[in-house]
Amino acid sequence: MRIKNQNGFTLTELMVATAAAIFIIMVSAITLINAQKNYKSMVEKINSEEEVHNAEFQLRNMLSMAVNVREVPGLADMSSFTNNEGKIRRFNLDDWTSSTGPGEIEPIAFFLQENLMSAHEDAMAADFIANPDKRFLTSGIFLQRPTVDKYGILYLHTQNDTAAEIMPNRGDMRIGHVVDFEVIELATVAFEDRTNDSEDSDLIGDRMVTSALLKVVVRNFLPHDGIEKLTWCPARFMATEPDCATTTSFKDQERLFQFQFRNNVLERGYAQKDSAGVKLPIYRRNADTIYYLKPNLPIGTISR
Amino acid sequence: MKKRKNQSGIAVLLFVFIISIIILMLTMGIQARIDNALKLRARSKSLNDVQLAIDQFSVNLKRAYDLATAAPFSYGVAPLAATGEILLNPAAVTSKVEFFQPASSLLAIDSESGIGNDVNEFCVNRSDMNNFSFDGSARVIAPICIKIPDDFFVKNNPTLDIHMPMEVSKKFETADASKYDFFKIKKAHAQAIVESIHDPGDLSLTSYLGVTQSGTDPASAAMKRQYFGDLNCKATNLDAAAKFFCINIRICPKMINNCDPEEYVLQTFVFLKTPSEIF
Repeated sequence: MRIKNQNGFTLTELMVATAAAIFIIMVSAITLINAQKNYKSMVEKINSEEEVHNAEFQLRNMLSMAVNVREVPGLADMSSFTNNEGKIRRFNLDDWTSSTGPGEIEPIAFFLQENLMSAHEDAMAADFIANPDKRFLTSGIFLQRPTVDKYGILYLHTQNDTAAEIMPNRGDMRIGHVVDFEVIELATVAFEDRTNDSEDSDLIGDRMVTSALLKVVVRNFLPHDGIEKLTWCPARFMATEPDCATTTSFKDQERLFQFQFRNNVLERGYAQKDSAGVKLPIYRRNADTIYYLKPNLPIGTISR
Repeated sequence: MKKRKNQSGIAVLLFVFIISIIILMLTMGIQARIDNALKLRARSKSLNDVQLAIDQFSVNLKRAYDLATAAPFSYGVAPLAATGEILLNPAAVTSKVEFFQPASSLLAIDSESGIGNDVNEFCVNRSDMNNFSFDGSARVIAPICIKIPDDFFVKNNPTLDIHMPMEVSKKFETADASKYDFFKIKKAHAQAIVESIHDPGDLSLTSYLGVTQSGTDPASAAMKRQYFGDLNCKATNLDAAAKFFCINIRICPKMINNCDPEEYVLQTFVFLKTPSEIF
């Protein structure tokens, strides 16, 4: 027994064992750190892809239900929203200039969107009868412009009251990490009133929007230690603006997508009798005489 | 000496075991986070595909409708005529459109996965489908089978007052699916199932219930041009006087697995029965 107890490691053995252990631990640690960086990078990439997919879905979901939307030339024409005046404008960030702090918020579109849910039954209809204001939601899409140190935010705003002022708020659906946004193309058709009454004289000649081509770009930065400078300038300014310089690697996810303004009115022409024989006007829509109720989405799809 | 060797072997084994456990736990954690992110991304993508499926389904409806009424095909833009005449087809007054619902059959949107039918071929055939007659009388129309080409969507017609920017117009013509997902209908991953086809309640002037058509109320302003008024899709109401019918479909946003009831996206199309009946 004594002999056993006296058996031990020699100093050399201990040193070799310790060195080997340290070596293994170091290799493991380096491997783990690299793996962690890689997986963080991968998760960031997947998340930003999801973010841009979600941006597409939310914009499409909202704008496709818009009614009475016409194209307006620019920001000056976006300053008010009154009866029937759904508006959308072409937009880009070509005029972007270097600045810091929260960017300005600009309207991209104002409109009313159909809020009557698909597959609704009598109870739903009764609710709208009691609360007609909820049938169409006053809606707006705003962009908080990206600056050097703050990313841009898309606000998808809806309100179910008749408040005079439409403005983004914290309760809106928000899409962050935006570094570029464009309303590239708007396909339009001139509104005509073929019934020759004055009912829609305010619309005649307006360019009613049938579809839009949008671009959204979100940015994610590759793993960093938190002290590097992160800049959120649109990609095309990163090389030319000194303030945009960053040593942190980033990846921009771009999404270009086109969609229909499904329910937009395009012309007023046909008439049809109701059961009492009274002629009714008919407004032609994007898909002719098909009218879309709002898609009834699984719970949790919109609230994020 | 022999025992010392054994003891050091155990120590090394323990060390390797502990390191392995740590690495395994970290790997599992990493994998779980990646899986969650992938699931979230797949869900967002599938919801976009559902939107495409909704558009696609309505295209099929419109096409079937146009063919049945012999009206020129014109999806995506208003069917304006260069002569100023509305596309009024006298024959359509007496040959109302009928749609038929395949009993328990799929109208699949996914041609990639091979599930169901190819949506690019949408058939309405009286012989093997349920007949929904809108005015109570038996009607016979020829079976309609429509092939949807890839470039089906919008053609820029210079004779009409349609403003289509050249860049977009070219894209439409070439159907550059690599850039514009909107045109990649074939790649939409979703299944559309015809849920029901039924008439809504009778539309009359009282359909504007409680809504004034003037003033500054945005809701009433929208209602003014909301021809379909107070829609009420009653499954049991087959009132012949009704001017509209509703088509409900449910779309499963999953590619492979079936959806639970709460996972479906429901979509109602309200369709005008006879747009050219009276002008």
